[in-house]
Amino acid sequence: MKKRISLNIMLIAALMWLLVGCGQGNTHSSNSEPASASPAGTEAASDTGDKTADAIEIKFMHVFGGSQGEAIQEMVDRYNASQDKVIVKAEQAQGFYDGLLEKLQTLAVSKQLPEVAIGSYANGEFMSTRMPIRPLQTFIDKEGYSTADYTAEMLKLGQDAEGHQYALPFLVSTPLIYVNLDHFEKAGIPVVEQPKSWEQVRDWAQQLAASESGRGGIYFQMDFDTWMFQTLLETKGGSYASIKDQDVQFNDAAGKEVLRYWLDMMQKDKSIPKMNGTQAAEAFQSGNLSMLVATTGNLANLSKNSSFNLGIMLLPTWEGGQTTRRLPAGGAGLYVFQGNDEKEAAAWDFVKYATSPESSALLAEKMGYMTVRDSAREELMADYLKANPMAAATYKQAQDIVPWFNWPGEAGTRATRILLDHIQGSFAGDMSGDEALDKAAAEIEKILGW
Amino acid sequence: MRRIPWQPYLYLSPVLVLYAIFFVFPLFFSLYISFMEWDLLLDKKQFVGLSNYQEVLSNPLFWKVIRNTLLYMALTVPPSAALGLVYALAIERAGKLRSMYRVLFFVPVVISVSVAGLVFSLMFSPQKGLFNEWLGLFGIGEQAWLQDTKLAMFALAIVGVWMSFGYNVVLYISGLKQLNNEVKEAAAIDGASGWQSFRHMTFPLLMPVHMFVWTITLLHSLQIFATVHIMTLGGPNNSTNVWAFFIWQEAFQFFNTGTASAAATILFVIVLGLTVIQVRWMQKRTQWV
Amino acid sequence: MKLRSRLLLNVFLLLSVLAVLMPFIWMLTVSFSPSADPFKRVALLIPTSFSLEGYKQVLEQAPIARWFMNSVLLTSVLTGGQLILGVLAAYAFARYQFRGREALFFFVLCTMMVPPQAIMLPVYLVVNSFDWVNSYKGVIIPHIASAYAIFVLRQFFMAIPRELEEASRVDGCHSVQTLYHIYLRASGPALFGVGLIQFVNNWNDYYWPFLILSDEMKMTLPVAIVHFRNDSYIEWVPTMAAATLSVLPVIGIYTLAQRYFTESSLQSGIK
Repeated sequence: MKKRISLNIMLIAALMWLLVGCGQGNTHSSNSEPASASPAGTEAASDTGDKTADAIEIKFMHVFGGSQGEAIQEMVDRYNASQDKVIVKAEQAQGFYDGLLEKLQTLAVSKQLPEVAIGSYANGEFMSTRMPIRPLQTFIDKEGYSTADYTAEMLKLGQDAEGHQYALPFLVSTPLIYVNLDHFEKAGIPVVEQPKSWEQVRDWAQQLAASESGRGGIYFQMDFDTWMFQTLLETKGGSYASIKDQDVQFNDAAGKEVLRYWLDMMQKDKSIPKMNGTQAAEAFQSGNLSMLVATTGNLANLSKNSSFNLGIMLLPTWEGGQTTRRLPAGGAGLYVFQGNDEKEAAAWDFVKYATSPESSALLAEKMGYMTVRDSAREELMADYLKANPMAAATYKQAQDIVPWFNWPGEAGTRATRILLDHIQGSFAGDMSGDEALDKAAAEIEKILGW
Repeated sequence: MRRIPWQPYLYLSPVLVLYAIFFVFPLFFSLYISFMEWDLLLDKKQFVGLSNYQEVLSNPLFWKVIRNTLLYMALTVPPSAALGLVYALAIERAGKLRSMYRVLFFVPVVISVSVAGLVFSLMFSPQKGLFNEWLGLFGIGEQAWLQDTKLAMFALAIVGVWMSFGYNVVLYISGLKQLNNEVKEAAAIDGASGWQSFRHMTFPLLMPVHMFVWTITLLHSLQIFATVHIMTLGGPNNSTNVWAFFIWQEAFQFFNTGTASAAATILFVIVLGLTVIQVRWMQKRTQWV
Repeated sequence: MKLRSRLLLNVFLLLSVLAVLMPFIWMLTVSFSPSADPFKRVALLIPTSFSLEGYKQVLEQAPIARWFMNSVLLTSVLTGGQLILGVLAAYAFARYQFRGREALFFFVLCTMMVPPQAIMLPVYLVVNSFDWVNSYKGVIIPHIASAYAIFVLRQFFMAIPRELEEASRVDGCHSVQTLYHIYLRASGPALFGVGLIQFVNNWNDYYWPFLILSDEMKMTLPVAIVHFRNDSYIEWVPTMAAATLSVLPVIGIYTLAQRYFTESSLQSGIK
């Protein structure tokens, strides 16, 4: 008897699953109402209720979660409220820039690309040559849109060799040294705006790490990419490669010295702890790490959660000082993908809004990235930057921004991964630094066919 | 004279159609792609013969990935099977709380791998993680579990064993239940000690269960993907890059369909060989098939 | 067994259980900690202060209710489909003699053994050619034929005495009626058990929904709980809160029906 009842319940349940389930499935997949991801989002959703039925809906794909994601959502909500022709749905791809690139590739194959997406400056070459984008220059020319107010160095981040704008700069960052001022004070190290040299930073790191057991001196954040390596390498006068001569150069003297610099701090000084970037950020916040070299974009998160006096220093050059500081721009530009005229126009309208001085200032203040607009920096954000010297710090080194190195062709992600893997291998003690760079160079030359 | 029944074919047809589309066809499709250079983004296709296989086999990473996969299997399968047997024996003798233990040991089996992956990556964190705090109690210094090329695979294996051994416990308990009376009687006649009766009676009599446990655990550990994807992404320096992850990476990260399919085909051929042997064995030895 | 050795055995088992459940305890601990300092604890486990911040943050920032509904919907449809097709196929295998039966059953077993990653790219391309990428169809349909369900249900069906079936034939039942009246009624608990196990496995599935669903609003819970990961900074408290929430239904089902899990698991090896 009992068995019979449970069977009947099961069957009914199975039927319900099928019937009810299918109905819901349809509403889910055809649901065009933008769903609310935050309280701010709910307001936006109610706004869209008033919009005319023929509003065009476009998707905007980014990579930010947490408080950074909220800032993006706020900008999108403002845009949706500001006009009634276009509804933008923001969407976060997981796995940061790498995850985004994966997602965009698969979406391109399934012809489901969003109308607008961000793209890391590290992937500019890939995005502009392999993805079906509509170069923004098209719209700029058609409309006579003036790009004069965009900061010149940043505008270059979205340009091809002929100076055509395939993307517009959206978020820009430079690396900064975040410091725990309490640790500095205790150790008696003077706080300066910019250390004299990387060698000095190394001495500090050793001193700070030694002053308390279990504390790390410094950490360079490079989980996903080789941004830090490029920064230190180019500041030393080296370079990744000469694409023209088809010659990998990061394993020349400068590169090997940079890697040796890190390895010495890890192995001899014991001032770089073994951990990943996330853990380093946590360790820094809880006072177990004195310095963190990371993107400007972390400012909001780090200052929100740190329970000590947070300070910021600019990046130094190397001892001797014959070479100048070069800071590859981190962050991401905005891309529009090919679609019908209507969608493309809507996407362009959103891109203009997202890079407007107001939006750019909003995102800069809430996320910690740099504004891409001169007028935002000089006018809208003037008071804010005066009141928040930490946020202002990054602009003091902005004149040294250079483009992020892009490997040519389709093998960019693989080449970056190979280099990063080998650097990590040397960190782990599997091979010497010199060996790591030579091996990586050989492998990259092989896949590039150089 | 017998009529050929049509009903079974009707009942099987939905399943067979689905398998044809989502299993058989993909297998051949994969083989086909493995001979092509197919750029999905620009939709250009070109026959390249065996060059994808050549590329895969000459890629040092591929061999490292095979070594890693074997290492992971070696680190997970024996402990998982052994713990399964040990706890099954212990639980069977535990008296009143028996069923409670059985239920609790099975809990990790029903937990999603993404939750396990997230929780364990936090537990393995060098400064905050539980594992280092425990080791600290014994005076062992901080380990960077997932950042150390020598420890990362070990850490993944801990998660793998944690997720799988509860299942083996249940399998062994059922095996023991079937044997218990036989063994006790035989042991009583022989006057054998506990250990002797285990060694000479229980253990060999559990042979079908052993085989089953080992096969299943082997197959699962061969297929490990999600924990790698969530916890290490194959790093550091590819020390946790395993077969499934390598294929995924080739296919969806580097977007090289040809080499991904070549690697998948090699994997498939090996597993197919093992499977045929295995299923044949099961058909002979157990009543299940 | 002697009382003392049994006591020792129980102490050992209790400690082991504690160790096995440690990740959950830890997950709960962190999820109830204040965001500012999630790792200050007493005796390794008890948070120094208790806070619901993490849960609040999850519920406010993430469409977790939506993800939950997605998971419920997708898992239910998939499980229901697997059971229905599984019953039909198992019935055919268990009760009919037909040409190719052995070969077909062998083939079904093989599908269990092939690593899904070996065919993930071509299956993805097939799904793509049907335009099912980023839709529930793409997640459900490729997996609706479940070798596990067929395998286990066949076991149960074969255990049912043939006489019952013959009796029903005599009563004039046709084949489908026999299936319903005899087989389904007799194997209710088995069906229920298989259904539960499939439900939990489908609920937990990670790699396929992750590959197919790109729309955040369509994601399932296990895929979406990685939502709080952003660049170089994972917010652990809300992440653990979300993980806890995503585990609750599974733990609930499991506690209510654990008997079925362990018993039905015995029928086959596929988790």
